[in-house]
Amino acid sequence: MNLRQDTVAKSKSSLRDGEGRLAFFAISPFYFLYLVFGIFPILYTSYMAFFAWDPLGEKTFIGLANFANLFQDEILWKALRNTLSIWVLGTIPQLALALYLATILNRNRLRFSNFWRAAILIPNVTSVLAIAVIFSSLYGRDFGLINYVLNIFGVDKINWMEGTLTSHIEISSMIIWRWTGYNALIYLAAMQSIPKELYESASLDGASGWQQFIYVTLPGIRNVMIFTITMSTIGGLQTFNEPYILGGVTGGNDKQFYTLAMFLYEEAFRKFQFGYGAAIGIFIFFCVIVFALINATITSKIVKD
Amino acid sequence: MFKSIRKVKIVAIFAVAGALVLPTTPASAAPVEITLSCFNDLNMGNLLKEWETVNPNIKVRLKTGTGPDIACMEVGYTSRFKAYPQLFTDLGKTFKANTLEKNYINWRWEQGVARDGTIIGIPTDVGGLAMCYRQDLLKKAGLPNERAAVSAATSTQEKLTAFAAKYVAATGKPFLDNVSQLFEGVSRQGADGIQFYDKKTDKIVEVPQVKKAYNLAATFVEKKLSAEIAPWSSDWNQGMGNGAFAAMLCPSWLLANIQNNAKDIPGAWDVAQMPGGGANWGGSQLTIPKFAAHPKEAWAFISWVLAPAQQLKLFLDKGVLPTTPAVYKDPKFLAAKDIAYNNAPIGKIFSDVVMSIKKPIYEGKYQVSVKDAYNAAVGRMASGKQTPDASWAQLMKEIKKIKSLS
Repeated sequence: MNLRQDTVAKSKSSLRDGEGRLAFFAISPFYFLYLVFGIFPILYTSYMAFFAWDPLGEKTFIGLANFANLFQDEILWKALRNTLSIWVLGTIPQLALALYLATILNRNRLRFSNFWRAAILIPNVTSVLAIAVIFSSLYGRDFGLINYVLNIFGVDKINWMEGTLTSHIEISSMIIWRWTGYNALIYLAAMQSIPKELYESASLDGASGWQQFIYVTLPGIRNVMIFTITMSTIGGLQTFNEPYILGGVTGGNDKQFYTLAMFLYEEAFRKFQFGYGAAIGIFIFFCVIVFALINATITSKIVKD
Repeated sequence: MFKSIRKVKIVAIFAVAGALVLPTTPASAAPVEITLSCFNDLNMGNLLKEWETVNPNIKVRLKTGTGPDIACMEVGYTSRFKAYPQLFTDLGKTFKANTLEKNYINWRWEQGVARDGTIIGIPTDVGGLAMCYRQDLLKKAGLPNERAAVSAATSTQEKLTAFAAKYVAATGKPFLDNVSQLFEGVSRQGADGIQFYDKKTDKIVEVPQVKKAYNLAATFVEKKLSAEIAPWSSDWNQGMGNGAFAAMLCPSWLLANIQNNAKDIPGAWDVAQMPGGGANWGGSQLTIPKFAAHPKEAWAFISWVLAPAQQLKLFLDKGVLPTTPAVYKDPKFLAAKDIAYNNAPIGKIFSDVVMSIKKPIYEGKYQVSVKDAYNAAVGRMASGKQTPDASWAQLMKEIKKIKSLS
């Protein structure tokens, strides 16, 4: 009791000393940058979304017309479907694989563990363009390695980017390649913070390796899992680089791999409809919130404390 | 502090001395760096070196991104920017560019002039359209392989289709690289100068020539006459050297590309007339944006590099087709024979095409989006994903949407 009062008194006095202000001052550069590059663009985008906004010419206030047009635009729903499909195909295997790799890296008896931990991040720090060059030749129609191997098993040549599902597979495999290692490292860090005693008592109680994983490891990294799922939802709903580089700015002849972010880019920067582009941006923003909430809820239901 | 002041003084003294010694130099004596932003280097490498020896005071640096002194603009985008002449330096009013107009191909010059008469850009090159073919492969297939004979044998769409079918029957290999290039080329042959936009009304329209081009592409797909290798893909580049196809449409600016990819087979490619007649395809303008930091120096460079003498050099060096017709009569231009193209007189061939164009294609504000939509329609049909009719129906819906943009 006394101790607690002391602490409160102390923290109050420290505020009077101006230390609190100093602390705010110390963290202010981040918030200043956040204001300039985070809050301001969001507010400005919301403002733009209410205008017919030609970046070179005139800006006319049109109220909610951009949104009305947007929701009637078939392309929006197609882009949303593509985005979700690529996100599901890219994220679920990615996080499962990351979890698996993290458990391997977490083993005490793993040799050269530091080397493996560093190596696993290499795909993430390699230039997207370089990876795309490799992936597009792997998936090449005529001379690609994947078609070559499939051909041995009697499968006909696949024109990967031309089909809807096949193009989503190509794109999500590249996303998986890039982000698995990153998520594995985050899981690894979380796993290492789980007290060893928990595992010891679990094995004393006769829990198998799998049971330890389900009842000790997963609950132990639950919050981190929610974090990675939220982050990959945000990333997945903004998928742009991979389809753009692998398949081109138009998103395919039938818009089969046209994502929401590509839609925004085309409207704003190729057709110069800034207002419409801003409206798409707002739409993506709300999609991210909705899907992130859904995912976080599902995850916390499945993995209980 | 003291040192730096002295440095400034010394520089100033030299500058003044320089100005006194070289009173005729138009630019200021202190070296100025101007930036040129473009989607490629316009093949100007050697000309830039020459410029710097002639004008050591103005350095030209190629860069992409914002804020250049000179911005190049592909014709597909010019209508977009011509709608806002206030964003550009009026080259007529500021630099009397109108006195140069007579040097350039009439319609090519107009592509850089806004509707209110502001001259915003000077034309760099012109894309005349022809058909490149592998004379060696045609010979092997037992078909005529001489320029005039091939031109005659493929002079109409029907003849071209029959010719291609003969090649495929004889070799079992596809004749053409892909139908999207074929569509783009043929759709530009309308006698009225309309592809997607009507110049008079500045509106998107549908004309029979474009549908004809689409049908021709569909025929090529149906009869399997095309390799369907996507333009600008690595397979396409390799195909120019490995015989994956025996013919491709070649706008003049594509020549250097074919030449690069077919280094190992000099003389294998040759150039015939475009089936159905010549057309224009491509070209750029150099403009000076209003915000340019050094408009005067930028103009000095533009007026030099796009003058007939320099355009001739660029043609002899890289095969870039000049926009100044006086060059077409130059003996050096006419004598130029390209070894890569079986000694074809490419200057003569392509300048004849360009001079025969009476009504060039007008490219409107949303040219790029309309073109994307048509290309996608051809692609859907070519990949067998949709029937030609279904793909066309979807296209018309997309075009309607683009028409609704202001």
